Amino acid sequence: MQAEDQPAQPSVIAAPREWTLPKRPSVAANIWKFTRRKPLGALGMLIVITMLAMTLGTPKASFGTPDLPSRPLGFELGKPWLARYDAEKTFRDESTGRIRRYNMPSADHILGTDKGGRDTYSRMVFAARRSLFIGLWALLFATVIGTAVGVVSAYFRGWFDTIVQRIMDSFQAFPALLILILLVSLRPPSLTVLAFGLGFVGVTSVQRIVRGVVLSTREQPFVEAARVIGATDLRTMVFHILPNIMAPIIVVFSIGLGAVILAEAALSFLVPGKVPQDPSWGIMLQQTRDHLPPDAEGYHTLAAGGAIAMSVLGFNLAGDALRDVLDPRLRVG
Amino acid sequence: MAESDYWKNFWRGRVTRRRLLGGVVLGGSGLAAASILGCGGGGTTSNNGKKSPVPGGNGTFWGDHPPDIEVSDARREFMPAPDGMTGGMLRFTGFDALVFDTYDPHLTQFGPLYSGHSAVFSKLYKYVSHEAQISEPDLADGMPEVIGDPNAPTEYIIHLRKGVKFHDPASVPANVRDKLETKDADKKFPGLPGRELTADDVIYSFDRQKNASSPRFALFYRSSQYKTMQKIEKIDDYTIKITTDGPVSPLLHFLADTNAFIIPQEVVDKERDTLEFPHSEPQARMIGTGPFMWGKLTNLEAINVYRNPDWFGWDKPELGRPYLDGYTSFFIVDNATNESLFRGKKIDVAGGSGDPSWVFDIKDEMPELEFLRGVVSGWVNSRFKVFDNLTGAPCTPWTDPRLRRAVHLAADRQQAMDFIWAGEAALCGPVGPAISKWALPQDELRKIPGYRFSQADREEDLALAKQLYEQAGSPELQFTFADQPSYIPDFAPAFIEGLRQNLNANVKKQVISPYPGIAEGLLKGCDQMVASWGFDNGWIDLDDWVYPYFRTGGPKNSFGVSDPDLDALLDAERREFDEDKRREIGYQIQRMILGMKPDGSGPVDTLAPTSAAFARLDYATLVTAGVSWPYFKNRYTFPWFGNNHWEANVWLDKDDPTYSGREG
Amino acid sequence: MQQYILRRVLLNLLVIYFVATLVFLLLRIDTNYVVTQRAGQTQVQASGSQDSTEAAKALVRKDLGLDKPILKQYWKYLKDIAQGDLGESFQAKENVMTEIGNRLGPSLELGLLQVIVALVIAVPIGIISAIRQDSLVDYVLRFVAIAFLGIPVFVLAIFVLRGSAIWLHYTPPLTTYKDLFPFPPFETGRGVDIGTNLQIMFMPAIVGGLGTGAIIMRFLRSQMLEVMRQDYVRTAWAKGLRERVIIMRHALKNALIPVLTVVGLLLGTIVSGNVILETIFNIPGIGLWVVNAIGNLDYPVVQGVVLVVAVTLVFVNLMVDIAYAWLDPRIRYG
Repeated sequence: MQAEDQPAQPSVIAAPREWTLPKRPSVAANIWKFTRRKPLGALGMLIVITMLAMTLGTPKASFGTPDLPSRPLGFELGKPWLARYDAEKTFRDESTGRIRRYNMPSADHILGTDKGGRDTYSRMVFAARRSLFIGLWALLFATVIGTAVGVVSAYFRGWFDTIVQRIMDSFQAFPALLILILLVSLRPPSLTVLAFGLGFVGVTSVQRIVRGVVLSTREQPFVEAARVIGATDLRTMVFHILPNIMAPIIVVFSIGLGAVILAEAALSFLVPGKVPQDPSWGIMLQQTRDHLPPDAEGYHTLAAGGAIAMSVLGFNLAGDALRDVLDPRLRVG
Repeated sequence: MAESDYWKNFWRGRVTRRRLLGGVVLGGSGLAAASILGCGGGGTTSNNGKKSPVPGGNGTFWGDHPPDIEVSDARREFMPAPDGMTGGMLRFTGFDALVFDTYDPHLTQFGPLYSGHSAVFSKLYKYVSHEAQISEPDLADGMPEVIGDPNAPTEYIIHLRKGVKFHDPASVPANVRDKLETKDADKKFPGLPGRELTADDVIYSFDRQKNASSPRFALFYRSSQYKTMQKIEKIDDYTIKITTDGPVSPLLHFLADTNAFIIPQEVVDKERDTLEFPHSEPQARMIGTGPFMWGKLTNLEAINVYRNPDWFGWDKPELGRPYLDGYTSFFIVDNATNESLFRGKKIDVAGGSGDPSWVFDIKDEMPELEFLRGVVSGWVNSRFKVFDNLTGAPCTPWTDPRLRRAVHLAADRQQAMDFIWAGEAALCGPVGPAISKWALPQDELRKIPGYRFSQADREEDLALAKQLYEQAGSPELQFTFADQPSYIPDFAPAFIEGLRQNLNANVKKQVISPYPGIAEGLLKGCDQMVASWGFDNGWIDLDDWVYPYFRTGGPKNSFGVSDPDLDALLDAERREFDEDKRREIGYQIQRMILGMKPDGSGPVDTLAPTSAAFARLDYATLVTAGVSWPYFKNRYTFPWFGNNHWEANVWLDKDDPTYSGREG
Repeated sequence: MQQYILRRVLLNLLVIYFVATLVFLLLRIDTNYVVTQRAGQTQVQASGSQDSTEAAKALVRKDLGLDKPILKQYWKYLKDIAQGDLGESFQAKENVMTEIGNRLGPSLELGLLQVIVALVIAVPIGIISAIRQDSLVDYVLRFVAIAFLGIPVFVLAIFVLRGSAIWLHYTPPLTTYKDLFPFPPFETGRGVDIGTNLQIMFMPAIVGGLGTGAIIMRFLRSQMLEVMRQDYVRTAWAKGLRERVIIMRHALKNALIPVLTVVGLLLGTIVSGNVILETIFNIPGIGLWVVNAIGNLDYPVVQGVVLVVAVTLVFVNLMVDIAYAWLDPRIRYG
């Protein structure tokens, strides 16, 4: 009502800004933030992504010789993106007809060849698939069962908890490697047995960690609140407790993958006849374990051993970083 | 924080997180890029700095190194030990200290274990050379005398040496006696230690191996050999008479074969017919007449044997053998460990199993070392189920000889030799190449389709293989691989891939099975385990290589074949005493198994359904390479196990310059 | 405190019972394999085959005691264990209890030496890495630690052994094992010679300790980090105490307690992981023997070893629990 009388003056109060919600950082920005804070973790993630690239593939992915069949693992995965040749392709010398056994690295074979004249680099890539496959299945098994047992046991406490923990202790008391060897000795070699066995020995560790976390989580107010409004036990466990313990589970998962890969290598070393013979880092390592570069076989050892070390490194670093990031207590001030 | 930040800031200034990360990312992506892009095609492959392979396409199949193959001959270059050179424990490594199946000398099928037995027990005759198949008397006193028609002998008289005594722990000093598992022999088996060996012991040992009423008869796997000895009679305490059912030309071989030990009756429990039962302490029962006494076998660790001072010494007791105090065989199978131990003179001889490249390297490094190479008579083969053993029904798909021939042609033997043994191998026909007396000559073998390696020949063979495979209906193939030795499952994917490519075949993913499973499957009906791939024992005589396998009803005839033509030849070789004639029959047998005409002029065009050809596919056998220190005198290599009695000739030369540094 | 100990002991006895039963069941899933192998069918015998094969297998089954009904087997099994009779190996017929007694010493010694090496490596490095968190030193140390974790132990071991033989011209006396102490369980009847023993043991102890040390170091680091954020540590800083005193006297002690638990858990891994080291360095321990027995389904050996190892682990964990309760008063009264 006074608008026409007053001369237009610049308002002392600045024109109200348009209030919008703060922009969510883009994915790229998030990644950059993570990288800056946890460079080791970023390195770990890079390694993990490389491993995934070694594992996945499309049926059309073709480097080298597209006419050879791919090596499915029970389901069609195609040739891995990073592989150059097929894992079982035997290379022969043109002039002599002999297989190119343990050749030094060259343009054709960047990491040399193995005892059957097959390209070491490509076998290393194919083997990633097997390690990841076994690792994932084993850990899935261990995590699902371990989490279930840990959550239930910690939630109910009392004598139930005690009995369950004693049973878990008895599983823990078994020397893991020996039980693994026993399990693979009972059946002809198969990936399922291997994955199951590795998962079986991991259950106790997972459940111990989960139980520890749940013991403290269940004291939190929101759990009590859930009970108050009438949530059943099951509902409380699944919808309230479980989402809040995902962080340690993720960490366990990532670090566990490293342990499973090492265990598989150890198993291939001790009982090479009882594990499936598709290319696997453990088997590759067992073949040339006596040699190191600059022997020709040494490059084979380097490929396999290096792959194992790198993947364990990657998973552990990534897991460490994730834990640091996700665990509020450890934030650097 | 109270702590000074100076150093922290110092480092921070140089190496920030960004720089660190940047460096890592650059390095990593550089690697990744290089790997993906590769570096273009073509280019020659360079070999490692070591020896390059001898062209093998048309040439030798004795591996990369020209053959200085040793042929076993224990009489060769025997140097008696000078005075003062006796004593010392020989040390080597191997599988000897593994009780794979049983301690029973008549029942064990595990070569390294009956090597230990051969140091402790004696046989009537001992092999001096496997390849030339020469044997000498051991417990016998002279070769067998033939009674009757010398052209078709059925009766033999064998005289035994007198004064051969069973081991007596009381004959050794107390400190050695403590190490013997048999030290309480006089309490457990009164009268046995030190007693003389007589015809009763010989007859007992022979009868045991063919006693059909024994509860363990099924486990005496050489019983078919002893069945040919219809009657074994005692003439007097030192003479026996053997009557065979018809002329049996491998008889002398049967008497010298690897399990033909003479053991004392006291150590065997008669009711159970075994020396192993709960609380029986089998090691205490290892009492024989050999040059060494059984010390102690610690499973998976070591076996020790000690000198028998009362040994009868074969024909020359005055030499005072054995010269050694004994030997120890350690169970160390890792190549790297073996090499380290050999260099440190903690063991006196070492070989390369599977990959002998370190042996060649160390020989180049130290030329004074002695080099041993020998062809092994064990080999790898495949066995197919052709007919069901029980019902006689044909087993698809392997009953079709065309399919078997196709696989025989397509199987890449060169790949097997190169892959498993780095080329240190030899082609194996139905009789192994180590047994030069009976095996098809390598010249002839290499011209047979399937064994030809030149480019043109190979293409021809593969074309024929594809054709035969299609004619047989392109069936799905499945192989079962043994899980031991470990190079077999190792090789399985490559073999399968080779078949896939060469035949355009549909090969099912291979199965790996432990040996008992394979054995059981091969015995059962057609649907179980129809094609196997595994390692087979080493045999000496022609008969062992073919008769048990291919004869109708033979103990190793898991194929279920019954080929009347082959049966006739097998029976003929058993009866033929003229060596040259027998060899000729042997060649005909081998050619028949390889689908060739009996005169070797070419392949048979169409194989009859009853043909036993290719029921067993023989691939290759390995050539071992080993080194020994020069102070190790009178050492021998044989193509197979069970010859440790020859350690009686061994002595250690203390004057040799290489002896210094050796302890103990 | 006493009540606590008593409860733990009783519960652990229950655990041992469960272990025994599990082992029994695990091994009897498929008896056909072991019977067939014992029956000598490694080579095919085809003549008169079916009957004689079955006869041989029946004989073997009787010898091995596998023909009785499973409950009777179970009862006999429990009775024998209670009396300390672990039976005879199927393969080499040795008395399992005696053999374990002979072989336990070297394995135990190797395990202990590894733990010592691991702690010696892990504790200083863990502390440094924690107090210099996120610095270059921390990154490098963590990277190296995890790298060592990732290198499979057998690669490192062989490299060390071969390298020593070729470049340093030194081979440990791997064929003549000697004991360290003259009393059980370290005694194996081979005579005592500390020098020889340590020469054989130091390489595998270091190689094995590196990997375990890495695990302990990371765990210690995270525990230290957690402890150093606590109020009482902040109070100590505020009081002006020197860094060394704070770390050693206040932080470290509290951080080490959970590490104890981890070490107890790791012992299981160490015992089983030693198999590889024992194979390479030819140490006459349990490792190779039991791996071979498992591969051949040699029941008495596997049962015996798993039981003994399990009992040992349970005992060790009991000790750890008690030590934990003694060190951390909150547990006692909680």
